[in-house]
Amino acid sequence: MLNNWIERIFGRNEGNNPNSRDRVKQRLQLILAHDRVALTPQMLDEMRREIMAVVSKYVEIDCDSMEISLETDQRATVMIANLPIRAIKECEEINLFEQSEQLEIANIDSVIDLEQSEIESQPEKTEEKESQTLEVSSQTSQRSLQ
Amino acid sequence: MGRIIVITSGKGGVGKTTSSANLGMALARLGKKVVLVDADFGLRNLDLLLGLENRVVYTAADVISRECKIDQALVKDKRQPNLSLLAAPQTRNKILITANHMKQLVEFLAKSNDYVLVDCPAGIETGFQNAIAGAKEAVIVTTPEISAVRDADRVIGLLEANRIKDIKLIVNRLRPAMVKNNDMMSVEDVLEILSVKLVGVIPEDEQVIVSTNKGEPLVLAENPSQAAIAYDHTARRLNGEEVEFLDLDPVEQSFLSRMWRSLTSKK
Repeated sequence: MLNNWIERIFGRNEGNNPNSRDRVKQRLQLILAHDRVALTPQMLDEMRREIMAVVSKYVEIDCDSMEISLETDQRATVMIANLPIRAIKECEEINLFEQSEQLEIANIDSVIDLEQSEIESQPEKTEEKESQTLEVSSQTSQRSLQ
Repeated sequence: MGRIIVITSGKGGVGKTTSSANLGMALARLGKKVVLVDADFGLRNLDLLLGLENRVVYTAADVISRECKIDQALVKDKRQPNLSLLAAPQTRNKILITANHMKQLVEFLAKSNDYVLVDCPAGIETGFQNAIAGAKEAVIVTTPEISAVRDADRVIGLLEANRIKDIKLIVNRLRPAMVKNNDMMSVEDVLEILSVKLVGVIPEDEQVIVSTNKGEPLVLAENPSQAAIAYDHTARRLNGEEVEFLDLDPVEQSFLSRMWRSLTSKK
C-alpha cells in the first residue's frame, strides 16, 4: 500500500519499458519489407541462385560472404546485392581480386533470405583476401538491419 | 460529380465505422451533401453509430436487386438534412453483390452528392474488393499498433494495385502520454513507415463509447471533446481546408498534482 503510494507519487510506474516504441518500429520495418514483396522463399532462393550463376560466368564471387538485402523507402523496395569479387576469371594473375564491388539492383520487388544459404562454399583463399571480403559483408549486414 | 471516398483499414476494430460516421456528419455540417454507404454487408453497424437503425427500411441489397428505388433506401438524418445513409443488408444471401454493382451504385450516388463515403468491411476479401470498386480516393484508418499498421500497409498496396492513388491516413486512438513515455509509436513513426499523406490524428477518447451508446456522432456534442474537434478538423482537411494539427502533448503532471491524485483516488 505504502509502496504503491510512493510509486504513484514519484511516477515510478511510468516508462517501465522505454524501448517498446523502438522495438515495434524495428519489427514493423522488417515485417513490411517482407510483406511488400510477395515472393515465396523458394522463388527467392531460386532467384539468388540464378543471379549467382550469371555473375559467376564472368567473375569469381565469394559465395560465403555474399549478401542480398532489402530496404524500403517511400514505399519503394530496393534490393541490394553485395557480391564480393574474389577474382576475375581467366586472368587470375592480375591483382584484381583485391577489389570488392558492390552491386546495387534497384526497384526489384523481391526479398532474399540469406540465412538459408545453400550455396556450396568456394575453394579456400588466403587469409588476407578472406578478411577483406568479410569486411564488406559486415557493412552490408549493418545496412540491412537499419 | 461528387467525390467517392472509401474508408478502410484492413484490420477490424480500429475505428473505420466511427470515423465514417463522424467524417460524414462533420462534412454535412460544413454544408456538403453527404451520403454514407455501409459496405459491411452482413455486419451492418453504421446505422447504429448514427442512431438511424429504426428508420432503415431498405438496404443497398434491395437497391441492387431493384426491389426499391435508391431514394426509398436512403435514410435522411433529421438532425442534419445534408446527411443520408444507405444501410447494408444484415442478411447476406439475398443476392450476390459484385464489384460492378457497387461501382454503379456509388457512381450514381456521386451524381447528386458532394461526398460518397463508403464504410469498408474489415479484411481484404470480396467485401473489401466490392467496397473499393468505384472509389477514387481512400482514407486509411489505423492505430499506432503493430498489427494495425501492418494491415494498413497491406491495404495501401492493394489500393494502389487497384489504381486508387489518392490515399490519406487517419491515426486513431493515439495516446500522447504513452508516446511521450516511448511506449507507443508516434504519428511521425507511423507516417515514416506508411509514407502516405496524413489527414487526421484522433486521440483516444472515452466519449467515443458514450456517443456510440447514444447513437450520436461525437461531432454533434455541444461541448466537443478533443476527439470530436479532431474529427471536425479532419473533415475540413478532407474538404481542402488548411487546418493545423491539434497539439495533443500531455500536460506535464507536477509532483503536487500527482500526489493529490494518488491521495484522492481510491485504489
